[in-house]
Amino acid sequence: MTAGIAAPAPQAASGASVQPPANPASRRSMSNKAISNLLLSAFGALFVLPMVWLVLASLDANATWSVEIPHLTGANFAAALSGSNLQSIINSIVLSGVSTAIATVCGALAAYALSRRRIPWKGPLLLIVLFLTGVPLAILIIPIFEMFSDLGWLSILPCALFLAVTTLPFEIYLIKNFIDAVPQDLEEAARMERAGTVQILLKVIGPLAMPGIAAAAIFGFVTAWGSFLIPLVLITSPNQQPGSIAIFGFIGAANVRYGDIAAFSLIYAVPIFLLYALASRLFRGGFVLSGAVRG
Amino acid sequence: MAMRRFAAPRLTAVAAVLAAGAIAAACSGSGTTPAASTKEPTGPYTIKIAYGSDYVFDTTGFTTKWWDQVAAEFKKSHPNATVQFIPIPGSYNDIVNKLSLLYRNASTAPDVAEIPTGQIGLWAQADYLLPLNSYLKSSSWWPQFPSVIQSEGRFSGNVYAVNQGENDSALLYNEQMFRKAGIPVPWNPKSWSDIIAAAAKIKAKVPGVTPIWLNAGTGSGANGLLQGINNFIVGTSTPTIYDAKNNKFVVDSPGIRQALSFYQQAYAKGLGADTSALFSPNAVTTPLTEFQSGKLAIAVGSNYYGGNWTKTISAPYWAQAPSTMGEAVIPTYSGTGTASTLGGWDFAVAAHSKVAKAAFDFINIAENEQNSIDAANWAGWVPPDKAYWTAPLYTSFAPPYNAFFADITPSSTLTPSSASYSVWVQGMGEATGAIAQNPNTTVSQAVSILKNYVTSQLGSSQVETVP
Amino acid sequence: MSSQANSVAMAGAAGPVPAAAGTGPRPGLPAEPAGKRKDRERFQWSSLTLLAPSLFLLAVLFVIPVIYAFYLGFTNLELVGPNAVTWHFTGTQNLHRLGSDPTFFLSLRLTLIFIVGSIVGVVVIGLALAVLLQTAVAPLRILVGGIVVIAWMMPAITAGMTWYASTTASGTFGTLLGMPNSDFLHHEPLLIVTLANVWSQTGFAMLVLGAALRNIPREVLEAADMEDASRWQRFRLITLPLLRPTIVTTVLLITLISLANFALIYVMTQGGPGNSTNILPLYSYQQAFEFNNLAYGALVGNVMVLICAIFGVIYVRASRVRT
Repeated sequence: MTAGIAAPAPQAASGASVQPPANPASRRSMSNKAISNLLLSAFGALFVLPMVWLVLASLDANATWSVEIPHLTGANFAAALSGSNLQSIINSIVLSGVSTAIATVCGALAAYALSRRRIPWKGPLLLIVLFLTGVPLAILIIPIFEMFSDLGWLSILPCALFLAVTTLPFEIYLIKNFIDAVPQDLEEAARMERAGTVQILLKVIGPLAMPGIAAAAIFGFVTAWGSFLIPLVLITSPNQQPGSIAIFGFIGAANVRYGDIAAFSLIYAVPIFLLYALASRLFRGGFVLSGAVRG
Repeated sequence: MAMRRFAAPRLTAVAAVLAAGAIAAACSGSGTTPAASTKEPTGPYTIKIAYGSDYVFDTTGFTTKWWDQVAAEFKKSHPNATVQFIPIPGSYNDIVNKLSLLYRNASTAPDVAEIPTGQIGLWAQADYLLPLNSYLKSSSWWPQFPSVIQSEGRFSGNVYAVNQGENDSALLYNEQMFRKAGIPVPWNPKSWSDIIAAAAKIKAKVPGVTPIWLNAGTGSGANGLLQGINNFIVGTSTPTIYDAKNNKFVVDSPGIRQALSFYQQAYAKGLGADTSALFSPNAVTTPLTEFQSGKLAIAVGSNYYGGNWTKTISAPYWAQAPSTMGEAVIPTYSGTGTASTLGGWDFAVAAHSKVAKAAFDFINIAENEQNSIDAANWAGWVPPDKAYWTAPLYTSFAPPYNAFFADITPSSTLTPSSASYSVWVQGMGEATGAIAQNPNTTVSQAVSILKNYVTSQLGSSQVETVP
Repeated sequence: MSSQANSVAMAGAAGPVPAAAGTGPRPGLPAEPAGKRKDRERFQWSSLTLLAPSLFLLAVLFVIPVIYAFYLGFTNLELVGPNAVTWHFTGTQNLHRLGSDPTFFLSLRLTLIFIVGSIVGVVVIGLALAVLLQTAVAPLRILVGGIVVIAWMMPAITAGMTWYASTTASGTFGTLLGMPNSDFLHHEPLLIVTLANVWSQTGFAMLVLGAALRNIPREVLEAADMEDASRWQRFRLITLPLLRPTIVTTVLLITLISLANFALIYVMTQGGPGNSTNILPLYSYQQAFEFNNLAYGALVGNVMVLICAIFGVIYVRASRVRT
């Protein structure tokens, strides 16, 4: 398979340090590397630009929309972490955690079935799953609210259930594509050893598809973390409200505390970042999408 | 194996039942409709009270303080009651949307709700609200409401809501800047060109400040008009925006043209604020901080400004406000009177509330002198009962603003309470936004923006031109 | 075969074999004969157990409300008012109104520009980042990768506010370009809003395309090296075609996410100034919740679902035609 090539050792994706180039091709690749590093830094700078205001305003005692040198203060962070705001972050964690757990577990099971098993009308089913992702949530609010209020479900856990349902189509799709790319040899070997479906799922598919499952879980978590309209409508008790709603406590009728908003936003971003750091070990920066709504 | 065979049909049956139930509930509305009660229930009961938690009072803290205060007083005379608050976070739209959802079902409808003035008519028409006429007969405060405030809750002869607090508008200006520009203080403009002239002098003599703040654009919604151009329209000879008799919206009239012309002159001379500030989501409250940081000279502002500059409400507050800021009424176009809009928040009782008498008792307590003035002070309102306007608790809170704005109230004008008003708001927002962004826009162009937009949304049978 | 197994056994997080090598039962075997295969899976009832939780949740809590919301588009339901409680089916009345609504057609046009702009931005920048990340030094890779992903994970409300602050007067953009008083946002609203959307979606594409890149078999790339192809030729003729399935999928997913992107634009412009950023999700919300026309707003929502369907069909066609 690998032809003999008189080339330097292939560059590992981890970017190990390169030896001094021995031939023109390598020298070219070194300056190429310098250019790409430079380009990457430029992109990085562009992406970080909008976040500058967030950081500056969070430390500014007189924060406004403008970007200015801050009058340094920690008061904004203190206000952002006060009593009910801290509670709202905990509520967000509960809401998003439960929602993600439900969506990912149900989604992984369904994705496995859709990928490996013969299902009648699989094609149309997948297409419907896909289209559901595009429905505007604001319109669904009315029938959902009526349903939930009739059932007496206007609280945080049923709200998590509905959030799970809204991310379910996308998660199914994502995980299915990942399972599609896992070769079937191992499953067949396991089946020959008389392993049941549960064992196959846990011991074979699970570990191999984990990057995709992790990615779907993160997607579900992030979506629930940022959702505002649904918790506003479905949660009535004020001490069950998540952070995305608590942020409005800083926007009064007569004044807006920009510094507090910025500080709270930064704090609100920390749990997701931690989640990502944890999970990125699971998918080391990527996952495979092979696409195809095929049978 | 047998279990699995049954699983599928059972699942679909459950789903069908749930779905049918949901659709049936939605279609039929509120199910059984018990008659409104006239007596307090004998056993223990719950009374549900909905209000905006972030947007109505000056701060969330004062919101909780006031409602707790009223609830405590209520419980003293109603020991059987459990007060269940439904605080609604977010801003104006979120409050209205959440309340609309709650009202659709008799079991979720709040017994007492704090609703915005502009929505009363709509909700009365939907049969969400209980007529309060019989209860008001025995109230001591109702006759003290000026007639314009009483009329805001009156539809088809019934009173569906009673006011909690009002906002009106006037001109606020920085006296120091005026002196520097050579304009005599106290300022008493007698015409709109007086206002333009003063702003032009500021621009010439006081560099680095925005001469005048005039709300423009679609971002601030109905509030932006209430504290903006509508004040000028209602001060003309054709103040009508909504012709209730014919159910048509006025999209072109001398009054509208005069008001737009005023805007056009101000922006063409470069006297207005820039679009970044005008179109921001919180534009309506920007003048408050701009005045405080000395960046603004004149604003068409509202009565809640004064309270927000006091120590009680804000930290940091602006101690020099009373000595720096002056206030003047907005003259009518002809110069003979005061022009201002009127709008605020009101109490309403759910149409099918099982505890209607108790609900009205709650409102009764909320409208007593102490609670009403506390609400006015903490939310930046004029209390609806005119006997309170001279109470020291009110006038000494944010002198001289409270007293000044109270006096404007009787001559102020309500804004329309019709379903399609928000369409007109969007159209006028586009018109003023066009002027603010491109000062070369002519009055005719602005009017045609308004006319075209409202006509395309409502149809030509619902718009009219006043000659 | 053995190299595939090896790559799977290697640090499992590197990702499995790409689909380009062929998925399905048996890669490498001749095409299936016509007629029912005897060794194909038959429908198993246990499949239903696997599907049941998702199907149940979706059917009851999603599909039925969607059908109901779809139906609402043809009624006269209002949010508040006389038609809030007693309302009825009105047939094609709302459709007629839609057909003569200039704001709707404007909204449609804006939405298409927004989506196309977002797709181009996200895919091009996402691909560029994925390629650059491969050859970057470790600290830079972690830093820039992290920044881009944080941008993706930021809730729309926060992202909207930071972009508002950055692109209006005295914002970061203006200050850096030496024009501190320029209000970029309100002078070029659709452009800035599209940039904001690209900024917040690129992280996703970068992750996806990065993994796909990583899964291109080394041998294929080295073979091209042997032919002394230039980097650009190698990229254009080898890498891109192999990435095509992933790119097509990313395009579809970005379309769906952008089409539903309500919060970001709402926070930044509320659809303004005028109607210049009033894309379909915002117009639907405006009609339903600000103008009180719940039914008409639902109809505009139906149009959104239709657009998704069209894109979905295009996507299925595109991914069937394969080399």
